Formats: sequence, C-alpha cells, structure tokens
Amino acid sequence: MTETPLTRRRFVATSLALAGLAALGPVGCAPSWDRRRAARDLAGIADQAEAWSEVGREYLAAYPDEKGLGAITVALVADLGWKPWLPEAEAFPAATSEAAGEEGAGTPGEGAGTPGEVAVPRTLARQLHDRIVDELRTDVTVQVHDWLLSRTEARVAALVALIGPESLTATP
Amino acid sequence: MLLDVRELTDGQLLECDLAIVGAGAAGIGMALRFAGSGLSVVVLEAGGQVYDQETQKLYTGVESGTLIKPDSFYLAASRTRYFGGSTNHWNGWCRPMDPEAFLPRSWVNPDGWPIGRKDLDPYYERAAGLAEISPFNYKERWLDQPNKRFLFAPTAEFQTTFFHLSPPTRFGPRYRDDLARAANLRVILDANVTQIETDADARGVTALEVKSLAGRGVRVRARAYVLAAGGIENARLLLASNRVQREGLGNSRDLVGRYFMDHPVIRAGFLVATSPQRSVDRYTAFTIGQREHKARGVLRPSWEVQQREQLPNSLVVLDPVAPANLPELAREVAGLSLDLTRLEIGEDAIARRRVEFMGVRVVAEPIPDPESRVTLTDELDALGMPRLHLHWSLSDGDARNLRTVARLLARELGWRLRGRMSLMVSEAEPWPRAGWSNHHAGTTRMHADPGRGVVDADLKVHGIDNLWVAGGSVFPAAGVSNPTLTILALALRLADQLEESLRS
Repeated sequence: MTETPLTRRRFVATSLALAGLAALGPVGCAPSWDRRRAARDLAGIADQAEAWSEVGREYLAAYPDEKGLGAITVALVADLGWKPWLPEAEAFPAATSEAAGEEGAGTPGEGAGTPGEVAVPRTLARQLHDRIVDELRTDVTVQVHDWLLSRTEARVAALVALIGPESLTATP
Repeated sequence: MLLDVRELTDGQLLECDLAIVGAGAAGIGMALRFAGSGLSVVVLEAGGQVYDQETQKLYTGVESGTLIKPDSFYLAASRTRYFGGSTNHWNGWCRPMDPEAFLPRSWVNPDGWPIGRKDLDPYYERAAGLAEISPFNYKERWLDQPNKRFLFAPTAEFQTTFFHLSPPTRFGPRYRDDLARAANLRVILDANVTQIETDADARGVTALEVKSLAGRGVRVRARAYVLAAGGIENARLLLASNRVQREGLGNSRDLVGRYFMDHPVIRAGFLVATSPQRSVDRYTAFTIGQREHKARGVLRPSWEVQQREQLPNSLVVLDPVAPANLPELAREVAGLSLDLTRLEIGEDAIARRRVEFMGVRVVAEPIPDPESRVTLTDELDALGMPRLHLHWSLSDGDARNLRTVARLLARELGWRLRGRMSLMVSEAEPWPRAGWSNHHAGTTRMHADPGRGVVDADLKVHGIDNLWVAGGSVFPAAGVSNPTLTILALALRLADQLEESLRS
C-alpha cells in the first residue's frame, strides 16, 4: 500500500471518517468507548470501508459540488463547532492528546494530533451520531445506493471515498 | 335447496320475498342470515359449483389505466365467477376498516361515509364468525405490551395493527350444506342475471331476467332485490338494465360505474431490523387463542401522520425474504454497515436471528376518482350482455402517498435505531414494482345525497323502491383494509334491515 503524507486536512478527514463510521453504530457504544474496543470496532469498520467508499462515490457523483476533501470536511464539521481552518490547537479541542486520553479514544497509535496518528474522540462520534439521528427525524436525507441515509452519513461515505478506504486500514 | 337453472322449466317464473344476485361473500352471508327465517329467498349464482372457463369468459372486457395494460387480464383474472365468488381465491386477510376511513377527509373523500365505524361494529363481530376468524378484539391485548414485540412503541409515527387470517374460508363449499338444508332458500346455479326489469318509470324493479349459457331462461319476481354480484358486476348490471332508463338503472346522475377503486401495492424495498428478537415475530403469521386462529401484524402510519402529511391510509406489510436471497442481502448490508456495524452479519447470524431482513410492501388506500370507471362497450358476450371497459387511473397523489410512506418508514426505522431500509421508490419512477390487490370497490358508491351517490346509507338505490346493493361497490372510500370483512358486515346489516322491512 502506498503511504500518503498525512497532512492536517487529511488527518481531519480521516478522523471524521472514522468518527463518522463509529457514530453509525448503536448509540450505546459511545459512553463505554475504550481503546481495545475501539480497535476492534475500527477493524470491523475498516473491513467495510470499501463498501462505504462505493456509497460515497455514488453520493459524490450526485453532488459534484462536494467533490473535494475540503468541501466535504467543512460540510461535515460546520455545525459541530469545529474549525479545521484554524490552527490545530484551536481547531480541534477534543482531538488533542490530553482530550483524547480523557475520552479514552485514539486508535491505532498512541495519541492524537500527531501526524501519522488517528484519534476518534468520543465527543465527535457522539456529535455525529446525534446529528445523524436528527437528520433522519427531520428528513435531511439523501437516497444513495437505494439506502435512505442522513446527509451526514452520506458525507462520511463520501469522505471515505475521497481519502481512500485504504487509509482507514493503514498502519502508521 | 341447491338447484341448477337446467332443472327449471324454460320461461319459468320464480317468486320469492327476496332475490339476491350473486353467491359470493355478501350473497351467501345474507342468505345464511335468512335461513329458517320463514321468508322465501332466491339466490342467483352465475356460475356452477366449480370453475368453468366458458363462464369465466363472461368477465372479459377492455381494460386500461395507470397500472392495468390491455394484456393484464384484470377483468377476467381478478375475480371468480362461480359459487362462492371471489372467496374462491381470496387469501383470508380480515380486518375492519379503520374509524377514520369513514370520516370526511378533504384529501381523500371530503364527504366521508354516510355511516360510521360504530354502525358496523356489531356486524363485524358477526362477520368474523362467517369468515372463521377469532371474534375481533378491538383492543388487542398485544397492544398493551408496548415496545415488547413490535418494531415501534404505540406513540411512534407507525403503529402496529393486526389482520386476522381466515383459513381462508371458501364460502361456496363451506356453506353449501347449510344453504341446501334451509327449506326457505333456493340457491340457483348457472343463473346469469342479464336484465333488471322495472316498471314504466323505473321506480321499482318488477323482475329479473335470468339466462344460462345453455340457453335456458327463467324470471325471478321478488318483493325486494339485492345486487351482490361484486364490485364491478353490480355496476354492469345496472348500466346494462337500460330498457326503461336509457342511461342505466339508478344512473340518472351518471354516477354508476364511476369511482372504481382497488388497492395499489408496491414493493417498497427491504428493511434490516436491528432488534429482531423484539420486532419481527408479530409481522408474520402467528397463532392466537385456543382455536389455532392465525393473525399477522402490519404497520400503518398513525392518524396524526395521515392528517399532517395529508395522506390516504396505507399499510406496510413485512414479508420474510426468500432464503435464496439472504446471502446477497447479507453481503450488501455488511458492506454498508450503517448502524448495524456491530451486528454480526452473515448466514450464521441470520440463522441465530441476530439480524432479520424483511421485504417491505406498501398497500395504499386509493384516492377516489370519478374518471376511474366501468362503462359498457358495444361488444356483447355469449349471453348478449354488453362487455365492460374498465379504466382505473391512479393520480400523482396516489404515487406520492406510497412514496412518502416508504420514506417515512425508512426515516423512522433509522432515527429510532430500529433498523434501516433500502428503498426501491423514487420520484423518477412513480410506480415501481406496482400491482393491485383484486379489491374492487366504488362503482355504486354510498352517499345520502342522490346527486353524489348511487345508494343511500341503507344501501338502497336512490330513486328505486325495492333495489339494494351489497358489496365493495358501495364503498365511497376504500380504506386500506382488505374488504371482505366489511363487505360481510354491510351485508349482514342490510339483511337485518331487510328482514324487518319484509316482515312489516
């Protein structure tokens, strides 16, 4: 597998994709998030990343305006209070090593916020999960691959497609 | 007594108190009600005791519409012309109409029915006996266990409701002996009514002209006449009985034959239930009571949702997915993960019921449309009766209803974390995988105002003193329940009223 330099934007995108995929799980999983469990779950998610990528490609074909890592990342985080265009410390308060440690998140790798490492803060997964539920309730939905998805779900799939499903399984 | 026209003398006149045209659910239900009553009743059944191709051909005609194509054989294949009528091919699904089906609804039927659900409740109880289902418990005890075995809690936008499943009762064979034993009943087979004769001003029926395919003819004279020949044939008989009233009997307002309805049904997709242990059991047939009676749960949008979205009623029927299709579906769902990420997906998991796939059908109440109608053609059948042209049109509103319900269900499943749904519906394809239900209704609709309906609230044809109609043709709105139980309830109500009237 070709190693791709993990730029900040790419790091944000990967974090979001992982958090988004995690958020798609049952809500009950988030409070008990721990490193071991996260690793197991993410391994499961990674197995399915290719299928998600296919959904994402279909979404991007239908919404070409979002066909860019920046556009889709901003679209995903805009309502969550995240500001990926700001310096890192201000942009992702929950994704710092300290916060990640408190949240019990971060896998694979030892911490978050360092290139080559991926963090899945509980708060982000929870925020995305709540947003997905809310979008389904209020009909902020799209139909992709025959599935009725919340817009955020579909954007997560698009992210997976854009960063490449192999990124989710790459070992730093 | 069971007779055949061939046992009668050509040209013979039969006299009775009540003549019933048709021996399907309504006709047989009414006849049984009169057994032993002392009133003489003649039941005229167009077919014999078994299916006969030549008789069935009398149903063929011209057909068109949104779903029906010229080669659909809808007229001939959606009903059966022999003793027992369409109970010879029904599936036995029984459910009363929902109370709101009778109400005025501006987006479906602004006038509502001239009677309410409470008027029919006592007759539903009796109808259940004829259909051999458990007496309907209108407050199902299962519903008192919210969130135990159902997909959604009772407060959700989709509610669980039940059909009771008749064996299904084939009314002909099942009740043949009861009818034959009753000395006051004469059930005459191969007896096709070809003309309703009236007095000079078409205010009263004087006799029925009856023919057999073999050429023999008799006439039947009664004090009261009931058409119970089915949702399409009732209208045909009225339209074809035009010797005095040229536009057809009871048709001075050009309403006979209009507002034809059937329940459109679509394959809306499939759902993946994430909590199968508490969800899908009740949506396949299960046993109730001590008599091994069967019931089956379905979903329907709540009355609040129907009002908010301005939707006709609808039902969501969940079908087990054929085992041969499971591996493919499992792969797709496993790939998508959705909120099933942590469920084991695969054949082992399916076998252990960790996850359940169900096909989703949506059945809709049609919006009554005067342009959906049956009319006479110039072509005559073997008995000299004009064949029919049936045109059944469905509107954008009907398509929107089906599409909206499917999407609402997909959303509800998702945000309540009950599962997910793959949709086969889209605006681009308004009638995907659509079909019909063989539930004919509406062609002699009930309305208190003679200007807006063919029969009144007591099912008497407006303007005619001694002619009534029984069957789905009197429904002014079809609701969404399968019609047989309501047809039976209406027929039993009519029988009670007629007995009182005939005795007085």
